Amino acid sequence: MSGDPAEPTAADLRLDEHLELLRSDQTGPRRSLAARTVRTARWQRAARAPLRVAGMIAAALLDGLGLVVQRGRRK
Amino acid sequence: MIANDPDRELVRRTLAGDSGAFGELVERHEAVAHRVARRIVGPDEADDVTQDSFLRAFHRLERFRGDSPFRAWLLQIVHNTALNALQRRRPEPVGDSPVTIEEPARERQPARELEERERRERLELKLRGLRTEHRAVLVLRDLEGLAYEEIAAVTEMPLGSVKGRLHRARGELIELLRTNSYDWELPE
Repeated sequence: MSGDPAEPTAADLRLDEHLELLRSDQTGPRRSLAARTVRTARWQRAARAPLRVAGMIAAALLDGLGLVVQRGRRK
Repeated sequence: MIANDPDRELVRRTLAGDSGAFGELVERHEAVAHRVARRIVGPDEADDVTQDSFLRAFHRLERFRGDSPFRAWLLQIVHNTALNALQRRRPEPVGDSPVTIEEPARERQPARELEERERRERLELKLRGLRTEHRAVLVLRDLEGLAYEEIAAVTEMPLGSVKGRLHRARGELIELLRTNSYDWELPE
């Protein structure tokens, strides 16, 4: 805990000894996530543009439908 | 962008469309990202939070200005993703719940190693009993050894708040360990 503002108490020092148990555990995930993450990132990027276009089309259709319904009610 | 950031070139290549470079970034940082996630959300959700964080980083990479190291920027995303995951679920019981160790491992491990593992798991459980904002700064400082300035960047807090929060986090953890049937031998 070097560089800390307050002088550490005896309990702080003991806690730091206990925390060494966790610090010494440098394990990451059981299996590397890299391949899976890159695969997902690729398809998400590929799907982004078509999904955005599909979203815009759906929104436009809903707007149009709303207008038709409004006009129908007025008549 | 910070000139001496070792990730600078990989970030540049990822932005240019090289997904292999992104894979290298994941390999380089997945251990620290996973440890931070695991210690905030617990082991069950750590993989998901880690992967989700990398995916968010990938899609937001254009927004990475490079005025802090890539690692700090990534850990900010891990921190926020972990907090979001915690908000979505019920609180985890923090008492002296029994620590389960897989039987096959128990058979192979010497008693001392087993005891150490059990103490580690108990301590991790207590760590997850800390208030969320305390847990994050304690993990980043006392377990991952980040500088205060980095923690301030990761948690988006002023430097003074980081120091104060860390002090309170240690106090809270000491109190949690004192009110425990397992003797952590913490002096008054």
